[in-house]
Amino acid sequence: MKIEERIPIKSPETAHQIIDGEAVVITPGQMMVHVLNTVGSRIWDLADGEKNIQDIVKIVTEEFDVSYETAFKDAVEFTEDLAEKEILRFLGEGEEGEGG
Amino acid sequence: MRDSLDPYSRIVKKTQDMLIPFTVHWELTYHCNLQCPHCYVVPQGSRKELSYGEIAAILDDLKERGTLYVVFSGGEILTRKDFFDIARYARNKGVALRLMTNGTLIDEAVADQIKDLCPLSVEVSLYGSKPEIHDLITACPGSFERSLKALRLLRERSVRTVAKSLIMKQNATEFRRMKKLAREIGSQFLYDTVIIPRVDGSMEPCRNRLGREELYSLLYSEVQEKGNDWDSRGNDLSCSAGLNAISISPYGDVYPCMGFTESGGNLSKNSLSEILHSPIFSRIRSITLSELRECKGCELIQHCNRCPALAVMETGDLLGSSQADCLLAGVIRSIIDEKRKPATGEY
Repeated sequence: MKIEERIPIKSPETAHQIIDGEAVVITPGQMMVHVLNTVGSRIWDLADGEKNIQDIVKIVTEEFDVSYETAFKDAVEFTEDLAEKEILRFLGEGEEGEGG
Repeated sequence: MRDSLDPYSRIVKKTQDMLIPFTVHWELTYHCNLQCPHCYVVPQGSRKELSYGEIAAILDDLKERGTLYVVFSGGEILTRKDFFDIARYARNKGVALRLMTNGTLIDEAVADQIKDLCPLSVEVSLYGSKPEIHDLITACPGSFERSLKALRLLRERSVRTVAKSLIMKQNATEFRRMKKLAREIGSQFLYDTVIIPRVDGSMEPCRNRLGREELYSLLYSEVQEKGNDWDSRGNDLSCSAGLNAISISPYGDVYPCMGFTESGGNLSKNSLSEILHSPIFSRIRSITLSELRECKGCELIQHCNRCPALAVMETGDLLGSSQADCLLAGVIRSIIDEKRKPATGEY
């Protein structure tokens, strides 16, 4: 799958809330609290298991003063970082029985 | 001025400034299978507890308004047949859960369901290190073994557990043994020494409170161990009740915290916004240290966890001082003073 087609989704184990544009994400297993920056919070909010990276980047470039290239690079790095921390995952990846 | 708060503390401050109900303590039911004499809960027989549908609608509203944490307590939460429907609904909305239970209704299957909820923690009541004490307090033979089993079943499933105790006349001698038992089963141990009156105003449970000497000997080594942590409050007597924390009763009444008997309204009739701006919520938020006649000049302030709800229940005065809080602060002060005394020389 191409990077831009990956579909991020919040891990169901997390607890989360957005306060005045800033996301607070808790991973109960590790008891870690993450506070995301404004753009990161928007990406987190958009990670609904339906939009792919490309869709998310388009929305981010419309809402923030940032070029597509920069937003794309940041979104890829950001979502991969969150996936590493197990607070989101990509649909069809790393799951048994999914994606054939 | 530079913002000196860490990102999470800054968010918490924001929820207080914006009156966001960040933390909700929700008593889902007043029904319980135990009969602890210290319990503050009094079921109001003629009133109907909120249904699953009503609770789900309130959770929708809370999530929209910024709630992150929900503490489900009772009564005993697991006496509700729809408890897991409610808890799953909350978790599916991304709410962080803490569960308070007596543990007696937790078997393997229930423990599995709790694990699937990924709660932040499950707090299980523990009143002794042996059945003779614990079961005497709960008035339920076998409850000790079942509560202990619950803690073990949850720990086996890597669920974070807290053995939570209220220390009173009946179990003060058990304190150290309970701490040890909790450690052995991999649970955190939390305790309180302040018994609050019943919600109907009865002071009966408070008869079991520890006296000064008992508190002193109970807390002596605790205060010695924690050292300066007991001095950390400064002159701050503020409380999060009504700021970014609310409490909901099984009937939908909303209080600044569970200790208050005056509600800000009922969620079946009032919006949360109306409730947050009701007279009792507004009054609690407006309290300043200078209004607290008895507390403002008190030399015990830095050791005091002043609870406005307790002050009202004990004295009828929101600005008054609670006997229990004063006693506790005084005992802590005595222990610290004792610790600071220079060693006496040999004669």
